[in-house]
Amino acid sequence: MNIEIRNIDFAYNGENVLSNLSTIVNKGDFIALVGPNGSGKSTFIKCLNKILIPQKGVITLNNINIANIPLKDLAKEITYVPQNEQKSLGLNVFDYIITGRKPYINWRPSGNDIINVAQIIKKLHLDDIAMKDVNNLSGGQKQLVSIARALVQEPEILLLDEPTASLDIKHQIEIMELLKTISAKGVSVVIAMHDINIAIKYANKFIMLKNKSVFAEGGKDIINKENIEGLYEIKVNLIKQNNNLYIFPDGLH
Amino acid sequence: MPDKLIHKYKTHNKKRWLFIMGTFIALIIVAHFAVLSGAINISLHELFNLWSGNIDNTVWHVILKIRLPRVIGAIISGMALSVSGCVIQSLLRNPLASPFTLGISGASAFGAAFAIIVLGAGSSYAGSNDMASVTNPYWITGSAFFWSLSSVIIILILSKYRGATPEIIILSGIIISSLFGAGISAMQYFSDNVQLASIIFWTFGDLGRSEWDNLWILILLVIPALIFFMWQSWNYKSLQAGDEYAKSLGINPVKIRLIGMIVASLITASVVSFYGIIAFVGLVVPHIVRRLIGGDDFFLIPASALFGGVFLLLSDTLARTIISPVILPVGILTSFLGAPLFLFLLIKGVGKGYWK
Repeated sequence: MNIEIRNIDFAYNGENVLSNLSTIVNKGDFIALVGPNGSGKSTFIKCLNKILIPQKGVITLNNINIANIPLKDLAKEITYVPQNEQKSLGLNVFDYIITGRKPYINWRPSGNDIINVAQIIKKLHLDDIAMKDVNNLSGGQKQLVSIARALVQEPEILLLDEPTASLDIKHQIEIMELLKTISAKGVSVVIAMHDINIAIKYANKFIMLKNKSVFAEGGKDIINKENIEGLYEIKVNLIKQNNNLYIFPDGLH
Repeated sequence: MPDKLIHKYKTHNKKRWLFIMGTFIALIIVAHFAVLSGAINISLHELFNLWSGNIDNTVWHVILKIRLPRVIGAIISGMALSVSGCVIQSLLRNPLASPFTLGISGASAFGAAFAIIVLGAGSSYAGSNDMASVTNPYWITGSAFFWSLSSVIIILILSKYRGATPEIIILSGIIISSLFGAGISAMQYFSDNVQLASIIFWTFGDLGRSEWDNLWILILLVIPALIFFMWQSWNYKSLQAGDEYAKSLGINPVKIRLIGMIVASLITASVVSFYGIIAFVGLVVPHIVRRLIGGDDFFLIPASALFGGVFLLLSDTLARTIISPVILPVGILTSFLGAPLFLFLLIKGVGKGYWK
C-alpha cells in the first residue's frame, strides 16, 4: 500500500497553501511531517484522504487516482485523527469508538464490529473509562480514544494531525510508542508534529514542509543543523549523545 | 476476547431498550387516561366495554370524533417536534438547537398564516371555537414548509462559517423568529376582524383543531420521516465528531445535513400548519432523553419520539382538564413549562462548558 503525491496545488480562497508538492508514502513508513506553523501540514494530510481536494496534481493509492475511489472505500484504507476533537453530544467512549466502524456498517454494527472495538479498547487500556462520557475525559485519554477510533477502521495508512500537541511528556511518549507498534505491523503512519526531538526518536522518514512545498525529505540523515535552521529560521545546536540526536534552539537568526 | 467489556456494552444497550419500551408502555397508559378524561367523564369500565365490542353510541361518538383525533394528534405532533429537535441538535452539533429556537417554527407559522390570509386557503368565521376553518390544508402545509426552508437555509449558511458557535446560531434563530413574527403582525394589521381573530387563535398552538381529515396528512408525513431518521441514525452519529472526520469515515456531511434538515423542517412545518406553534417540546424532550440514555442517535431518535408523544399528550390532557370545562391551548402550557426548563438547561450548560 503506497500513496504517491504528484505536483499537487491547494488553495483556500485563491491563496495557495500547497504548491507543486510531490512526495511518496510507502508501506510501513513512519513519517514525521514537520515545519513551521502555517506551512501546510494539516492541509497536506487532509488532501491524502480527500477531506480536501487539490486543485491541481494527482494523488494515487496503489497507482489508482484517489479521485476515482469512493469515500467509503477510501475510508477502509486511510484513517484520520483530527487535530481538534469536536464536543460530542453525550456519547460514551464505546459509542464514540464504534463510529470508526462506519465504513463497514450499513445500518447497525454486527457482533464482529463490537468485538473489534472491545479488542482495541482492551489493547489501549481504556476498559475503565469505556462507559464514560467522552466530554469528561482528560486530554490524554481523549487523544487515545481518537486513535482507538481510527484503529477500529483497520487502516493501511494512519494520518494524525498533531495528536500530541496538548499532552504532557508521558502521554506524548505513550502515544508515540503505540504508533510505533502499529507501524511495525506494516501500517504506514503519517504524523504532523512540532517536537523534532520526539520525532527523531520514533520516525524513520521525515518530510519538512516550508513555503507551500517540500523543503527536505528523507531519513534521519536530513536532520542536520543546516536543514533545521533553514526550516524554522532560527539558530540551533545539535548535540549527539549515546547515539541520539538532540536539538536545542539557540536564539533567532 | 474481552468478554467482560462486550457484556458491559450489551447491558448498557439493554438498558436503553428498556427505556424505550418503558416509554412506549407509558404512552399507551397515558393515551387511555387521556381518552377517558375531559368535560364528559368516561369510566374505565365503559372503555373496556368498548374494547369488548359493547358499543354505547354517545361514548363511542365522543371517543371517536372528539377525543381520539386529539389524542393521536398530540402523540404524532409530540413525536414530530421532539424528533426534529433531536435530529437538528445532532446535525448542527448544537445542544440548544430545536425547530423553535432556530426560528423554523416561526417561519412555518408565517407561511401558514400567509396561506390563510393572502392565498385564501382558509375561510374564517367567528363565533365558534374553530376560528380558522381550513379549506385547503395542502396549501397551508406547502406554504409553511416553503417558508420554513428559508430559515433552514439561513441557519445552514451561518453554520458553515467556522466561527459560528452554538450561541450565534441560536441568536440568529431569535432574529429569524422575530422577523417572521413581525411578518405575522403585519398581516394581522392588514386583515379584517375575523381573519385577525383566527390568526391570533391559530398562533396559540392548539390541538383542538385535530380532525381525522388533517390527521391523515400528518401521519403520512411523520411516520415515514421517523423511519428515514432511524435509517440515517448511524450517519448522524458519525457527524458528531465533526465534518472532516465524517468525511474520513466515508460519508458526505453536507448532503446528509441538508436532507436531514429538510425532512425535519417538513414535519415541523406540517405540525405548525395544523396546530400552530407548540413551543419548547422539540428542545426540552431530546435534551432530557439525551441526559437519560446518552447520545447514540439509534436509541435517541425512537426514545425522543416516544417521550415527546407522552410529553405533549400529558400536557394537552392537563390543558384540557386543569380548569375544565375551559380548554387551554396546549402551546400556552408548553411555553410555561418549557421556558423555565430551557433557562435551567442554559445555566447548566454554561457550567458544563457546552458553549466554549
